[in-house]
Amino acid sequence: MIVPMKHITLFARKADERRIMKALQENGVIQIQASSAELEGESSESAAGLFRSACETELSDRQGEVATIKAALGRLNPYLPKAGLLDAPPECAEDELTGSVPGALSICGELDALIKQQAAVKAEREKKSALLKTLRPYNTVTIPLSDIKPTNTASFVLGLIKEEKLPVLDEAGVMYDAYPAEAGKTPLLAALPNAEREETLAILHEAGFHEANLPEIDGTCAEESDRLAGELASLELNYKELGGKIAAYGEKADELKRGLDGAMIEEKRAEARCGLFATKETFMLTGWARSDEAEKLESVIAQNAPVYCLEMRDPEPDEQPPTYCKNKKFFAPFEFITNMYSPPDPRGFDPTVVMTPFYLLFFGLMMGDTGYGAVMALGAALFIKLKKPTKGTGQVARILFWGGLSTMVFGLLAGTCFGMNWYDIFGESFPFPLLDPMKDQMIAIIFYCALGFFQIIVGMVVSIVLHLKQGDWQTALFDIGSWLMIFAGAAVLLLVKGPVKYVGWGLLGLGLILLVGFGGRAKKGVGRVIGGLGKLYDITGFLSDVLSYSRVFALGLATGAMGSAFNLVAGIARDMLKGIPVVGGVVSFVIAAVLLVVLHVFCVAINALGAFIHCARLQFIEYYNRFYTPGGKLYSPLGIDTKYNKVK
Amino acid sequence: MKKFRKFAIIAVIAALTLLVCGAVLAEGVPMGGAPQMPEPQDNTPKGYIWAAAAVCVAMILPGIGSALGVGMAGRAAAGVAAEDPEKGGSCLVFELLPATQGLYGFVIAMFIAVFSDILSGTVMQLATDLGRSFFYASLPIGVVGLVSAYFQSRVCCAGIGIVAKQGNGGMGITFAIMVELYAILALIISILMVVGVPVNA
Repeated sequence: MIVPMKHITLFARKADERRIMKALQENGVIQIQASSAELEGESSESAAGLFRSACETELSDRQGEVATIKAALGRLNPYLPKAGLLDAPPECAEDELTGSVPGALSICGELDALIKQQAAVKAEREKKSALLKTLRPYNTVTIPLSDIKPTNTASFVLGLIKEEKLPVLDEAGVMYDAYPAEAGKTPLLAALPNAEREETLAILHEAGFHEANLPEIDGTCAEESDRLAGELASLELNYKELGGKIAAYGEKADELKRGLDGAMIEEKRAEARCGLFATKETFMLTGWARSDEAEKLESVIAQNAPVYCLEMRDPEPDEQPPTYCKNKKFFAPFEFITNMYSPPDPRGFDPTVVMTPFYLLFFGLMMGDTGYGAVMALGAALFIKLKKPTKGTGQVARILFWGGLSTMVFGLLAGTCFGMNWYDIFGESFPFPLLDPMKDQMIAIIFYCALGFFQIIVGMVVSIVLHLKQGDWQTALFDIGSWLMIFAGAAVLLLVKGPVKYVGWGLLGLGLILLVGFGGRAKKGVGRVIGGLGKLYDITGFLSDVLSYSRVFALGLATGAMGSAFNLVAGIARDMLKGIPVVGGVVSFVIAAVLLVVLHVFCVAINALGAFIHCARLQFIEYYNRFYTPGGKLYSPLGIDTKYNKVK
Repeated sequence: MKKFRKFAIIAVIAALTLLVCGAVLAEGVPMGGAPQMPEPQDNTPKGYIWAAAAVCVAMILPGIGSALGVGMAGRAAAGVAAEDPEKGGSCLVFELLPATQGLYGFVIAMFIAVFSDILSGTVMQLATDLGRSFFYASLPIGVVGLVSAYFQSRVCCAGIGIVAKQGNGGMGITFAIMVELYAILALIISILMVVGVPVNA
């Protein structure tokens, strides 16, 4: 059922604005529409412009808060206590959440300082270890570097050279001191006589000498290296200590999560406030509310504003209100399927109720395995019971629960149990499955296509009803009713013998006349005649739609076949391992059991995904095509939308 | 051009696989115009070779397609998840869609293995004609599975783009599922053909 929407315009005093907005958000009764038209022509200096810019500033502050806390949580991610998959979110009051924002922000500040400190330590550590690496080849040089100073007649240069080049230097008469090599090359202190400085350097470079590029240090390289190593060790300790401090913040994650939820609530309200229009003393709010919540909305406003003016009216023909569907508890989760395609047009028809039975039917047939159905239903039930999921996740879990139950039934009627044939378990005399797609393939395909044909007929009947409701009897009779007559006539001709078949001919003929005669009624002249003939071409559409249901056969069979293949694999593994002496019995049993569990869980998951999507597709393309008007936008009221905590 | 090259590579792999299978099978198949060489009569049935080749075709070709498809979609999904980890879940659905062809191929391969008794010694007695029937039965899912997985994956990558931009890829899933229809039809035909082989007649 689509709930009609009311267009809301509220005028109240600006002094009450924050209180009203908070109450509206707590109750979630209105979707605020930004009033941009009124703001046009207003200068930014006017009251309206000032109010808007103040709101926007507040919004960006709130967004900044959300981003800060999110980033902190992201950094703490490795240290967060692991939440169980099935733990229900903690419950909190709204004020508690919004109240914990400043605390969370100060935690973020402390954390940020720690992280910056840690980064500084890391940079220092890298610098020092690079220096240590540069010094390493010179550790054997016994002269303190500060002592290497030019004298009156010569200067000195320190560097590295390959040991085998030393004789070359000897030959050239270069004076040098060579030290033991530590890392491949030999450290060399060469004297450059002032008179032959350039020549000596040239000889050295020729021999592959690399001058050292060392910072100024006191003492020998070895001493300096030791000092650096000590510093590095303390830096490392410092780094680890800071890491520990950061990790300790993982325990404050709950506070951060509460803060994030609080900040998100405030962000959402700040965003909605940007849609208001304000003068000096009053403000105006426009938006949409559900007609069944109109009284609640009025009472919420009345409680929070002593003076107000509230206008409610039905949407104008050129307005596009949001869509809100309200269904009984059983049907409500299946709105998810429709919304996957597109929410219904707000003036259209909510197909959830007429779609759900078919969805469950084909879902069950596509999964077609009682064992898998039981696993799915149990798993979904546990998930719903323990995790208490809401919104999309909750809807999918409930669809899977009902789908699992349906799978159990259809697995018995036309399928398998954990990939095993029923008659293999219970003997040949077991009456189920009634239809074994493995044995009677053609019957199964035809049966599933017939079911699909029935769904298409239902879709056409729904379409006729909808058109009649709108008073469009011509479309209902000429375009859809005529086809139903043709189908009915053909069915009578095929199934019934004797004089009744003239009724069949009659229906077929009447249907054809209506279809061909009036199918082109919207056109003029020749088109009026040809257009009707063209309608006959729609038969190909019916044919392809019906054949599309043969996928039910393939997917149902694939589930069972995959399951039985996995059983086979586990069986082979067991038989192979049985041969191991002494422990063979236990090992083969354990391995086969593990294999079975893992493979069947995979099989349930992949086939449930396939059944979920293919079944949805059958509804979208083959069924909705007949009557559904998509194109709505979902009603999303200003409300409380949290990530980690549930608001009481 | 680069994309075309990638697809050409798959096509070559597929063709080679078929060629190898064909070469294996060429023995014992009388050539139309070739002069009949007087050979010593070999009456051993060659069905087991055909059956083994059938299992290979049914598993290898759709397996290549699915591996390629899941790989492509997976890369796109990882890109989106890197930006926004919350969208990873929706992307996962897209990544898994091209995986089904490989599973269909696996189902047919298992069907053939079971029906031709490849898992037991009796396959050696499988008549050549019956084995050949199994081989032909593996072709629909083999070839269509390979090609449809590749093209479905491209739709899936586009669908992951929808998720990245809109946050909800509902319509994209429908688009991707459209490609799957042909793999399913091929699967049906392959099943009917395998089941129809009169092994026990």
